[in-house]
Amino acid sequence: MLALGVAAVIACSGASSDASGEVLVFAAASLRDVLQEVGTAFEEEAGISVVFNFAGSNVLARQIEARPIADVFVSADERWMNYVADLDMVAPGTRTTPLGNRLVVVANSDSQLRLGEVAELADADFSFLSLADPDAVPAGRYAKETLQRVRVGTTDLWSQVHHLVVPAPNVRAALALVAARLDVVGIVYRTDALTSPRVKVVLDIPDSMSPPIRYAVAAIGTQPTAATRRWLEFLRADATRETFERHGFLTFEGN
Amino acid sequence: MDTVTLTALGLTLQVAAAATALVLVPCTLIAYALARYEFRGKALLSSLFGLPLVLPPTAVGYLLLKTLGSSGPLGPAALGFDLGILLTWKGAVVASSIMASPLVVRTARVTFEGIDPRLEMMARTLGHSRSKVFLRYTIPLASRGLLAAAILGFTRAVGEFGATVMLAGNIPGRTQTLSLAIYSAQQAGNDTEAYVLLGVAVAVGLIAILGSEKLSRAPLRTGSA
Repeated sequence: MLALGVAAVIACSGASSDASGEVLVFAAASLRDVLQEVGTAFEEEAGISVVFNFAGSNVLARQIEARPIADVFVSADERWMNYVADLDMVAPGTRTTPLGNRLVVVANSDSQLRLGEVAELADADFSFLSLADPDAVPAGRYAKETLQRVRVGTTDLWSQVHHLVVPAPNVRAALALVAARLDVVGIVYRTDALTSPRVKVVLDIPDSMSPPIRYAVAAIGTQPTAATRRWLEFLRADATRETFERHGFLTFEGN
Repeated sequence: MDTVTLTALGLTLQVAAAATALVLVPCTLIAYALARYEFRGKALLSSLFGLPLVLPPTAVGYLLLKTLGSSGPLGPAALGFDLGILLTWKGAVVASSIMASPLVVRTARVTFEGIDPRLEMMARTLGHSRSKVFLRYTIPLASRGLLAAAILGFTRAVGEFGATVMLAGNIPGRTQTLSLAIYSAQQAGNDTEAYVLLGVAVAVGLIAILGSEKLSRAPLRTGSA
């Protein structure tokens, strides 16, 4: 049955989709808005089209593992980039860490919730804590690690609230749940909170409380195409850095 | 309609049509064999083609992903070349084909079982070969049931989600079919887009149902016999 399907598909797979003037970018869901803007600017300047695949970095890494068709991978953490690098699928010398982010606690824009510090989440009035899947998705892992570092009484904040967690497949899905319901509190990137008018930031989580939040960028494959190299250069350009900063991202020079 | 919706619709129809075309002939032949003949391994063949109906689609998707993946038995390492299926629209075709095939086989089999074998025997006594009887008499007699099988297969392929998302990913403009686009729009909290996609999905479903009812009321073709 499988052989049958596969055989027939091979028969009609003569036409290759390997367009040379195109870059296929697998990027973390939190980069959706900013990268679409950067992509449009790139297409105008370079005349090369960019196709995006936005999802949780874990999903993207697993897709790359199954079949490395992406030209560029942008992971929201170093761990999933390491995972792909360990599979020998990262083009040598192309990996950089140009972007950073911060976590915020968000609630529905109609919510009355007020927080003075993160530890108050333990007693705050809400039914669900919306996170990107804390076992796999970078935004969720960062949030979990942050809550684990907060001491509450004899235990930590994570063990106080983890039974309220609703895991989402990516950080934008976690954000959407907060936008849709009054009794949900979420922890997402600050940049995500800025994209939704139906969500408000209740508390900025200081850098010192969370693990460092860094995005890793690299070309996939052994030999990046000219179009891919052009895109990677464009990501490092001053104008692009300004776009990232305007969307609330932290940018790092020199690597 | 925006471009996301249009490409999702176009891709969905393309994938479902390709999947239906892909499975219709082999599934019809297998259904005929199951309806008419006793042979060794018949029960196994029958269960194998029923399996995607009872398995969670994600289980089928995972199995296919492991089979076609980089180190799978049909992966580039084993074959020496890349089939080019994963994360492309062809991946969606493979996923939908496998998920649709039980419905096509089952519907076609019931249809063949409903045709009196004596009609075929009579045709044989007229000196026609087995394949000629099948093509000139059995298929025309079964045409309505086979059409229903094709439509069922097509609609199953249109709605496929679980196996498709694993095999083809969910890449807008590339592999994002209607069902995947609705999921993404909902997950992203993009209600406007989700409603538009929902409307399109309902329209496609209604057209398929109305079309199939109209076809099933058309006069039965009995061949040139």
